[in-house]
Amino acid sequence: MIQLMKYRFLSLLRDRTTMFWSLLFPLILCTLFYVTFGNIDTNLECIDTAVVVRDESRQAKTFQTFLGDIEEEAEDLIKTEEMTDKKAKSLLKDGKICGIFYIDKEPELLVAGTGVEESVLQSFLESYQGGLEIVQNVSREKPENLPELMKHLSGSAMQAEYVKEASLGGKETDGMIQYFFSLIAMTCMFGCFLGFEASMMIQANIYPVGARRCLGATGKMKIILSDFILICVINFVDILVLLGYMTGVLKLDLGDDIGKIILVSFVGCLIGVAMGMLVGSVGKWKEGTKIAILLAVSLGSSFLSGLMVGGIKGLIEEYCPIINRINPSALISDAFYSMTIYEDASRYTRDVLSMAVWAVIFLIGNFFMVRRVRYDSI
Amino acid sequence: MIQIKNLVKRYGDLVALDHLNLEILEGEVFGLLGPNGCGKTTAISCLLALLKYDKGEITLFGREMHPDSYDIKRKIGIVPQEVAVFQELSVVENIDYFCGLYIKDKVKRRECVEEAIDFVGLESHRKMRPNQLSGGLLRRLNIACGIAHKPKLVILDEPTVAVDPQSRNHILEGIQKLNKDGATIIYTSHYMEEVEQICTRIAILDHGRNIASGTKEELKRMIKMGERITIEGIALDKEQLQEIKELPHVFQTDYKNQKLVVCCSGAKQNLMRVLHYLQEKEISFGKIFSEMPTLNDVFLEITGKELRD
Repeated sequence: MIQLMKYRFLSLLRDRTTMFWSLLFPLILCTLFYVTFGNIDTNLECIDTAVVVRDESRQAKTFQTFLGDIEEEAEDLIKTEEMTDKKAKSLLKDGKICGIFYIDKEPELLVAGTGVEESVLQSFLESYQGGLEIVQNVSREKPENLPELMKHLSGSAMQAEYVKEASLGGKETDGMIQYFFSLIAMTCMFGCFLGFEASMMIQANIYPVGARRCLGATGKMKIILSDFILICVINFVDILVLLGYMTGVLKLDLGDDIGKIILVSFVGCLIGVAMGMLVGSVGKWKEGTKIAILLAVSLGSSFLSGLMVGGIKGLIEEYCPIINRINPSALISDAFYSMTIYEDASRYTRDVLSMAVWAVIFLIGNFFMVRRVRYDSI
Repeated sequence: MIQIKNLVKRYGDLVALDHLNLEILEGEVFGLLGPNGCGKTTAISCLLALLKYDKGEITLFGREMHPDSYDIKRKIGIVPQEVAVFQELSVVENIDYFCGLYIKDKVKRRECVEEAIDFVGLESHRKMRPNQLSGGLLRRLNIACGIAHKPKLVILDEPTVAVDPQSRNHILEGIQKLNKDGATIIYTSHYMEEVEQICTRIAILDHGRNIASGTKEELKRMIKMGERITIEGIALDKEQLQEIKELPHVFQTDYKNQKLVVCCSGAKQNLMRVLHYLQEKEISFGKIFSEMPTLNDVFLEITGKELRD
């Protein structure tokens, strides 16, 4: 069995297409995710901004107080420093600050670019101007409501303190990290294609090599098991590389549950590969038909798990929960979800166990499909 | 060793094997000869329990073959029509992998692999991948993968298709050597010359039926023609042609483009009689030669069509 695995390993390792899709593609996608999502968070941590006081009037001071409140409540987002106009412009020119707020009766913002940071500064100014306009309107038309309004606006400035993303399950969540978990889930499901290919390789009516393997004096179960173990290991190593890249190179914070992530990934590999092998062994159709079935099953399972359209999984949970219990994509994504949302590990454990059980069922199903088979045509 | 009785295999309305009967004895090189689509590969696939069949009985080594008859499979080596190797593995790795499906002992397997490489003459190509080999070398690798475990029965399904003459000779000599070493061979081909060259017994298949079988001599004795005389560069008038037709034992003549083919029944001295006639009539000619009937003649006479049609 080790000899069979050794050569299948070499054969898979030297197959550039397989290695690209199972190893390099997730890494490329991860990098793209990081560039798209990861940098937003990093750069928004602190926007260096200069404040130039042009006017000492009460109206002008109000804006300065507004900026101070924001800096105080969202200290990771903006950092202001009062300085002369000349120095501020020099720093802006050198790219050391993102913008200059001018404290005046009519506050102004000077920026040198059009990036996310500049947009954030612009939104602060617009927010102030919008609030000022409301105050002016209310004081002109209903001055008795002014104290209440001021209280409310003051609350808005403090909003950042109270609005913090959290889950009902009791854990803090980072929306961006969910994309990276989806990527890990997708890599697990790539195992489905590897398993499918392996399943094709033991069918005499599809590949000549399959015919030769069928005619050998080694049992189908041994061949299936050796292929299964090997592909799971390859897929799992791919995921470990991906995880290493995420945490080691991109410095992504995947949370404290790295052990749980690895466990989900491993069981995800098992179910992904087993599902691919089962789909590959169903029926005695030719390769094209089977590929169409695999695509339908893999895309269908992703769709039903909500990876394409949000809310589908919830609807299924309400009307036909059994699908969520057997759908590999749903189980993997749910395991990651429950791991990041709930302190209680019972749902996570249920998902992991379900995946392991289904992987075994799929594998046995695969064996029964191909054992003692005689084809109608070759 | 192998008995096939009344084997019927249908693909929808098409009858691929029509009550096929075959018996293959231990130690022989048995040729399955027939045109493309006559049912040779289908018969082999049924024999190996890869294909379902509608009717009939097949026994190998005295037992019925099933997909999980591993003890029988251990005695069989198959060289399929299409090259069945892993493209990503080298020559030696491919042979070792397929040999490993039969032999678990590492030391014994290594010996077998080396012998197989030596047997097919791929020593200098052992580290090459299949896509680096020529068509002929690829076929040799295909053979090595099928015979490395030293099977008692070797089934070769058209192993010389698209192979250069040098590799073809190498393959044919190898098959004879395998047989000499004790293996029973089933050899399917539509190349009658190859079958004539190496097979000790032959079955001619057409439309899924065994239309004739026996040794090549037995097959040739089944037909009327005993000798074919060809004369090139000859000019004949109608009267002379008719006179040749009326010579003893001549049953057919064909005269086209100054080339005359005279078919004679099995009696001896046919060539002498024709030469004597030409000398007597002072008819000049370029070249004359005589041939014994071929399997194609057998096929032609039994089916009314050429083997390669």
